[in-house]
Formats: sequence, C-alpha cells, structure tokens
Amino acid sequence: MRANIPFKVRHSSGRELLQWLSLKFEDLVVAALKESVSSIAEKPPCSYAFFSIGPLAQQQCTPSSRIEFGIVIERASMEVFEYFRLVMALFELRIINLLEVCRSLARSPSSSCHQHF
Amino acid sequence: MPLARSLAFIQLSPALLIDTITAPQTDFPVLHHRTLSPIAAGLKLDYLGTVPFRSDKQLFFRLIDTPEHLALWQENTFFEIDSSVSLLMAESTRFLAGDGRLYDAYRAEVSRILDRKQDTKKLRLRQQRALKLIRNEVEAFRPIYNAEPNDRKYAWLPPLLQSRRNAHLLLCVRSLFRPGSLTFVRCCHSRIASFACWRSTLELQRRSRRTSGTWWTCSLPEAS
Repeated sequence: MRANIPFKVRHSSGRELLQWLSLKFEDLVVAALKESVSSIAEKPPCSYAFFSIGPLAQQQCTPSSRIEFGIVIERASMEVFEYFRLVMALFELRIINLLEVCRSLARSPSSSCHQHF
Repeated sequence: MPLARSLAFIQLSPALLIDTITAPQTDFPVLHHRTLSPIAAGLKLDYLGTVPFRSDKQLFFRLIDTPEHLALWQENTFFEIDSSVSLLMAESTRFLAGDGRLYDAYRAEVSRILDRKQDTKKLRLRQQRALKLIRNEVEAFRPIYNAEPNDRKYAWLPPLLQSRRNAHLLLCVRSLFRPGSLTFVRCCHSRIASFACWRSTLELQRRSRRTSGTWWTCSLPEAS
C-alpha cells in the first residue's frame, strides 16, 4: 500500500492522507455503483442519485471504512424499490468480489436486502 | 464423533464472537462494565451499515426515497428519535453518481428545513441543533468528581484522561474492536503523524488480538 501512495501525500498531514484515501475509495464505489446499474437489462424506472454519508462523505475514509450511502429517487413506488434492491444486491456482490471484505461485513447487508425488504 | 463435533463448535465460537462484535449495531462496552465509561452515554458506532436498505432497524431507517421524504429526517420528530442519523443526513452527505439535480433538490429541501426559524425563538433550527451538540459535548467530556462536595479530585479516572489529547487516545483504544478505521481516524485527529499513526494502528491491533478482552493502554508517537 505504501508504494502506491504518492510521495507528497505520504509525507503530508494525516488529514490530507485521509482525503486522498477517501477520493480513491469514492472512485471505487462510484465505479461499482455504475457497473451495478448498467448490469441490469432494464433501464432505471426513474432518475436517481447516489449520495454517500458518514466517513466517505466527510473524506475521512480509510481502507477498512464501511460503505454508507443513500439513494434519492424521483418517485417512490414498489417497482422502483425493487429495482434498486436488485442494484444493491449486485453492488454488494461486486464489493465482496474485491476479496477485501470481512465475512461479517459482507453478510449483514444480505440479510437486510433479501429477507426483510 | 461427539469429540469431533465439540471441536468443531470450539472453532465456531471465535468466528461467532467476531461476527457479533463486528455486527453493525453492536455496542462496544470495551470497559466490560467493570468501570464507568468516560463518556456518559457511551459510544455507538456504525448506525447505518453498508446499504440503504436497513430494514433490520425500524422502517424509517430506509435511506432510499424522494428528496422531500428523505429531508424529513431533519424534522424535530425524527431528530428526537435518533439524532445521529439526522445529523449525518444533514451535513455529512456527498454526491456520488446519478442525476445531480435530484441530489441538489434534496440538499435544497434539507436547507429549507434547517433554515426555518422556530416559532417562539429567533434561532434557526440548525443553530439550535449546533448549540445542543456543543452542550452535549461539554457534558460528555465533563470530568467526573467525587461525591463529596468541593472535592475536585477525579473519582476514578486514571491520569490518562487528564488532558483532551489523552481522551482521544482513550478513544483510540476503545475502538480497537473495530477494524482499523476508527482508530486511524482518531489518531489523525489527535495530530499524530500519519504513517507513524498507521503503523501504530496496526501494532495496536496486533496487540489487541493477542490480549483480546483485556484493558490496556499504549503510548503513540507525536506528530513531528
């Protein structure tokens, strides 16, 4: 990990390092989200926006921070909820496939996604 | 055969413990209830979890909705139920992907609610909340004194807590049960040099695994 961090960032303050890590992490999450949406054959039923909350939004993200975000949708209906439930399941799989997720972290969203919604 | 089964369950137990500790809604009584917590209300981490469908909490924790409905988190009713979520949804959000106009609409709706002046007071809602937060922080870090009047000595706190910086260090140690993130953030906020801090975090975690469940302290390097 140390080898990948630019020299300037490596010798900067902790806050700058966190900011750098957060931006990298954000790129990863955005790419995974876009891929998840494009993986579904159907087009999204309405326009939407993903927004991060917590450490990712505050740019205090670290390699082991949780991914926390919400979705703003244009209209609320069961069809839209069902579509984004599927997107989230795919997103979860993509994150698990990075092979850097501890088992418990990977399992908790599954239960909330599939069983209770 | 029963012995083999027993061994299997023995192997299962640590995995179960780790799962339980890292569950999103686990409280962290790191002090094992043997001593009082230095923060009166204790710490609660990871409220929202990984995805917006937090249906294991109550229904209104679902973080997918129209801008108007999501902004309702800022209303006093919801703020009283869980202020952490309201605060996160107010000031700690950042656009990731999708239609930026929807996110702007959400931000505008949140600002409309927070800038609303209360009926009886001249303060805006966001000012009221800021004051309340500061009051809570002051209360949380209030030193705990002996029961006798005019006795200014600490009742139970070790010298560790006699400065604000050390209080941060204590938080570092308290958060060791989480995978590195919070420890790292806390270290950075305590103005400890970033890579010294990262090494220290790994070291703390290594030691934590070795002495899991015991209370210990460790000195961290200062920022240069």
